[in-house]
Formats: sequence, structure tokens, C-alpha cells
Amino acid sequence: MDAFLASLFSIAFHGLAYGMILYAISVGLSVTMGLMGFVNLAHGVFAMAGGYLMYTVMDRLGLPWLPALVVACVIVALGSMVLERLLYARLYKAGELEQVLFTIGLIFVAVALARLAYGTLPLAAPLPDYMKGQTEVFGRSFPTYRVVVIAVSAVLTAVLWFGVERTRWGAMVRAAVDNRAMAQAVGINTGVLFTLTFALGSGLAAFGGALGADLIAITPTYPFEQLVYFLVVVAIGGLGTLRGPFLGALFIGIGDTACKYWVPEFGAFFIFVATMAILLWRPQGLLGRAQ
Amino acid sequence: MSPPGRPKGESLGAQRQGSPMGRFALETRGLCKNFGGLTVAANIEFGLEPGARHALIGPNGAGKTTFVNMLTGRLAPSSGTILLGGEDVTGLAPEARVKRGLGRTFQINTLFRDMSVLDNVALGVAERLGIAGRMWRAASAYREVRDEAMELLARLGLADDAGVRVLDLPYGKQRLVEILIALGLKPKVLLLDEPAAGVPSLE
Amino acid sequence: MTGSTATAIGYAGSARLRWLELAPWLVAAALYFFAPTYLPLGSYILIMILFALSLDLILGYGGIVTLGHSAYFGFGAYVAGVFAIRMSGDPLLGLAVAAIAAGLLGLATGAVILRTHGLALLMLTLAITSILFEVANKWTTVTGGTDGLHSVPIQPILGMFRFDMFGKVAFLYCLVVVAACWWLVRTIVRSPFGVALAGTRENDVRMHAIGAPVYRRRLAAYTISTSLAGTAGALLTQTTQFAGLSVLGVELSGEILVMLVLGGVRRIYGAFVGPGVYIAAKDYLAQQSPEYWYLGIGILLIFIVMFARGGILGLLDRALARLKKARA
Repeated sequence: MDAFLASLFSIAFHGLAYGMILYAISVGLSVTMGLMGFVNLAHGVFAMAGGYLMYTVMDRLGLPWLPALVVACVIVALGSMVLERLLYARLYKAGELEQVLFTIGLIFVAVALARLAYGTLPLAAPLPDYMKGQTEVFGRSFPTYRVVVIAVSAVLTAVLWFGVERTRWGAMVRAAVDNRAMAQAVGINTGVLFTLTFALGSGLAAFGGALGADLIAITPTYPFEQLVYFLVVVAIGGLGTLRGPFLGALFIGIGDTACKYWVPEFGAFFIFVATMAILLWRPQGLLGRAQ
Repeated sequence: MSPPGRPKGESLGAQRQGSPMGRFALETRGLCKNFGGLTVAANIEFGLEPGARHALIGPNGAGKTTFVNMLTGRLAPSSGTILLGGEDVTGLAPEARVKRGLGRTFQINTLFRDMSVLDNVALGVAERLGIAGRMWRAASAYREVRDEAMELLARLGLADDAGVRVLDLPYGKQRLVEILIALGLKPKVLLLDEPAAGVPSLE
Repeated sequence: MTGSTATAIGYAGSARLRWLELAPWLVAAALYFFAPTYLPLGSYILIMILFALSLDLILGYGGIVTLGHSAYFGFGAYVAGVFAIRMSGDPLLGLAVAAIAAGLLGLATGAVILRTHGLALLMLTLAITSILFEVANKWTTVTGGTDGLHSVPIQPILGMFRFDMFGKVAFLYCLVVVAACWWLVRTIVRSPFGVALAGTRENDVRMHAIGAPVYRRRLAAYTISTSLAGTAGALLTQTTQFAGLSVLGVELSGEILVMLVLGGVRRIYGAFVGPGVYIAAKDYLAQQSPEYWYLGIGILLIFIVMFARGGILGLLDRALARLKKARA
């Protein structure tokens, strides 16, 4: 019984860490998909870029861990703004197929560039010394790094929810997600709003990718391999919401960890079946709006 | 709303109240619709004689669209019955009502934009004739469909535009195609939703 | 609808075979007689053409955006492999079994996912191909896991035509099967069913309003499409005697989508031109550097979406139209 409890705790903990990383990466995708109605399959590219850039910044510029993380996120956010203005914005009115094709093209380009710049092996995630080792939580010891992941992501989530709920910018985003035409009619500059929100979403993805490099390995094919998980989180949670992907991320994080632990011969099978079941029951996601 | 074509043998002097089955082309009895506490339709008793033309007028929010949606089957009524040609269709899906002779047009053009005018109209004709599901012969081999569609086009002066893509047509002609698609179904009752909206010469 | 490379569907179209439509088969014949060392590559191209045709049916004509079509290709591939190993090595029998199996899988999954649309539908297609990938990955006793199925024993076709090591018989086998399936797709697309399928793509609401059984029609198209995809997968297993994880998964779904779009969606012959050009170019260029290949393909894809939606055949149409205008 004690061993079972211990394993439950372990699964909950590691699942939470994984889930928080998934949330950090996917929340931006949920908001931009709900806001712009754009199927952005290339979102994983920003997460991957965060991981690689942080490594490069630490390696070439010698910055310590935390500043490197921040710098990587800022660079990705700025870069995504350029992409959004130049390319994404032209396709907002285009059909689903065009958006899918465009983002697949982006993935191909990113994967190729990553391979050329960093080779094909997974990136060795550099951790500062104070994060290696174990920490005591509730009388059990866990890897310090994962405790940090959970703590930092929790703070970030709180800031995000507060920011969207209490600030004017957040109100504009919620208005535009709810009814874009009306939002424009009351004078909200949706173009600028889209760009800034896109940048925030991409920056968050970079954050998740870099912070979570130890949980989700950074490889050149990252955007392809992880795509399904990000989309599942967003689809289950519901587009355009903040809390939806949180539920989705916890579901995948803990569910996947539990499955890999208890029924490793089935792998992610149950997660996908559960996803299908949920989507068939509620195609708009758990917290999404019915069409 | 107006049913086209000929009445099916009913006398044109049929009474509106308390008529036996088959007197009305379209009838509602005690039709109600509530959205929560809001009553949009209250006990609508309506009868449309064969060959009659009936206009439904009312201010915005009067419930016209709700009524039409209940008739076509897009919206389920809270209570009451709908009879099409004497048959109770209240529980039937929209497609089933179409098969029993209820046609409609849309206020906003709902056309097959990247297809030719001929194909737009032919689609409805083919469904009615029951050949739309056939896979083995080419569509062009079904002369009867094409001829009937061309005939309909000629009636509204669109015969020369048969091969033109709908999205290349001016708005007024698109509106005509909108009506033609419904006519291709040879419906017993045709519901026209704001048919002249946006067409100055008709308005 | 206009232009000489677009297929003439619709009630005013023509069902007769035009001379230009024989071009792919002439190219295949030329390959067989004049460039026999390229026959294995030719077989692979033919298989991908069939796969692309199956995708065009539901994507181009049906308007169903899917990233999970590799599920049915891979399912057909594995079924053919397992059937040959455990039951019978007869290729025609295996092909039939794989086609039926893939069709049944398509019917079962389609019945469920075609009730949704948009992102939910896309997600479900991804989920399906991911599920199959996981199953193939973990069920090592049947599928061989990451190693795959090796040395799949394939008997001579009809007991007479043994698969030779030059790939001649394999090529002709693929040619005949693909030609038969091409004729099937061509017939369906030109039929009233095909026009109605286009109608469901163009305006779903209006199709319901004219009394069409939209869901049933879509499901029928989906089932035929998955059956064809499974046939293509089976051909791959039978001609290479191998089935591995690369026949499943999102990457293959993405690649076949690229191939189809490159040639031109909704033109039937886009499914010929796209894979042909893509695979030939990849075979030549990717040897040097696979990274630059993917970079190029990515940029090309973005270019196509921005400027050349109709793919190669679309550009050809525009060029021809301009030529006609210049002459007139």
C-alpha cells in the first residue's frame, strides 16, 4: 500500500511537472487559435527555438541559466512578430488547407535549419548546479529541477491569468476572441493586438521549451513529434481559453506519465483513445464554446 | 412564402379552420417555441392552401426566422405539430422534409461558389430524381438532369451563363441562382427568405 | 473548371478520355523500355501516386482536411505484411485483404470522425494515425516494432510472374493496380456522386437544404479513399518485402500532402505530377544533403500557398491561359 501511495505521489509530481511545461507551451497556441482562428501547427517551432537559443546563448555568450532563458524567450518573441507580420497575417482569411500547408512548410524549414545548426542528436540540457540534486517536498525527495519547473510555471500561470483578467490588454484579447468584428467596431486595433498576442504566445512557448528541455528533449524533429501533444492539449481544453489548456495539459501530463509507468507496453495509446472519446463527446473541448 | 406550380387537385376554396387532412399544403397547429423564459412563438395556427401565396411580414425580432427554422426542421419546436401535405413532419430531419416537398432559399446567398451555374441547379435536380448518389456513369451522361436544369436557367434568363462559375457572377444573378436551386427540387411548398434583399431592381 | 489540365467534371463536362490523359502511362512505358535501372524508383512513384490519388478524393474533392491519411496507408502495409507472413504469400489475395481491411478501418473511423469538422476533425485524424503508430511501435510480436517486418515472403503473381531482382515484375504489377485505381477515381469524380461530393465541399449547408444525405456520401467517399490508401501501402510491402514504422505517422501524412499540393489539388493529374516531381527531385537532390532538401521543400510549400495555390498544374493552366490570350 505504501509503495502504491509512493508511486501515486511520484506520478502526480512528475505528471504535474510535465503538464506545466505542456501548458506553458500550449497556452499561447490556444489563445492565438481562438483569437485569429488560425490553425498554427508550427507552434512547436517556437518551443524548439527557445530550447536551442538558450543553449546557444549560454554556450556562446556565457550567460548564466536564468538570464539566458529570458534572452531566448525575448528573441523568439521578437522573431515571431516578424513572422506574423510578414507571413501569417496574409493568411488569416485563407482556408484551413492553406493554413495547414503553410505551417507545415514552416516546420520543414525550421527542422532543416535546426539540423544544419545543431546536428541531429538531442540537445544536452544544461542545468545550473543549484538545480541538480534532490529537494524534499512533503517528506519525499524529488529532483530539484522539476520542483523548480512546477514552481516557476505556477507563478507564470498566475501572472498570466491575472494579466488577462485584470488588464486592459487582457480585456481586449477576450473581446476580440469573443467577437472580432465587434471588437474592431469599438476601435480595438486587432492587427496590433494579434501581433502582440502572437508574440506573447510564442515567447511562452519558448519559455516552456527551454525550461522543459529535460522533460521534452530538444531535437530537430521536435515540432513534428510534439505537435500531436500540443494540439491534444488545446483541443481537449477548448480554443481561446486560458483555463481550458490548463485542464488539457494536466490531463495529458498526468495521464501520460501514469500510462508510461503502469502500462508501458501500451505507451501513449490510452491518451489518444481518451482524446478521441472526449472530442467526440464535446468537439469544442471541455471549456470551449459550442459552435 | 409561396408554393409554386399547380395545386394537387384540392379545391381552391378550402376553409382555413378545422380542415380535414390533406387540405393544406403546409399547416402548423399550436406551434410554440420558448428559449428559457422567453416565448418567441406562441400557439401559431397556420394554414397554407395549395396554390396560395403568403407573405410573412413583421418587425425585427418578431420571430419570423425562428418560425421558418421550425418549419424547415433546423429548430425543434417546444410544442405543437407541423404538417406537410397532411403528413406530420414535426420530428423529421430537414433532409426528410425536403424529400417530402419542402424547399427553401436563404436570405444570404448560400451557393456552390466554385461550381458552374448549371451544376448548382443540377445538384438539386439530381437529388430529386434520386440519381445524385450514382457512381458509375458520368454525370454528363444523365441528359435529363442537364436538360431540366437548362430549362430552369432559361426561365430566369440565365441560359447563357450556364458554364460560368457562380462566384464570377454579379450579385443580382447570384440571387437568381439561389432561387433556381430551390426550384430544381420541384417543391410543393417553397419558403423564400427575403428573396429580394439587396437586389435594387427587384426591390 | 477551366483550363486544359483541370478535369472536366460536372453535368456539362465530358467523360471521354482525352489524349493528354494517356501521358502518364506513356511515360511509364518509356521508363520500362528505356530506363530499366530506374524501375524500383518508378514503382515507388506509382505507389505514392495511388496514395496521393486517394488523398485527393477526400481532400481535393471532398474538402476534408486530414493529417491522418498515413494511418490507412500504413495499416494496409502492415496487413499485407502480416498476411503474407502468417497466412498466404499470394500477392493478389494479400492486396485484396489489405484493401478491404483498410476500407473497414476507414469506415469505422470515418463514421466517428466525420461527425465533426474543423480543428476537432483535424485533431481526430492526427489521433488516429498516432494511435496506429503507437500500436505498431509496441505490438512487436505482430509488427516487429521498430525493426519492422523483414523478408516478407511474396509468391509469384498468379503463380506465374515471380518478382525479379530488377524490379520489372514489381513495376508492372504496380502499374496495373494503379491504373485500375486511377480509372476508378476518375469515374467516381465524374459521376453524379462526384459532383455531389464537390457540393458538400463547396457548401455543406445548402447540400443539406436540397435533401442530400451529406454524412453518408462523405463516409462513402472516405471509405473508398482509405481502401485505396491501404492498397498503396500493401503494394509497398509486397514490392519491397518490408514494412516499417515509416509507413505510419504524421511525417508521412505531411509529405503526401506536400506531394499532392505540389502537383495541384483537385485535378487528378496533380496526384501524378506531384509525387513524380517530388520523389525524382528528392532522389537526386537529397543524396547531397537531406537538410537542404527539407529546407527547400519548406520554402517551396510556403511559396505555393502564397503565390501558386494550384501547384504545378495550376501554374501550367495560368501559363496556357495567358498563351491563349496572347494568340487571340
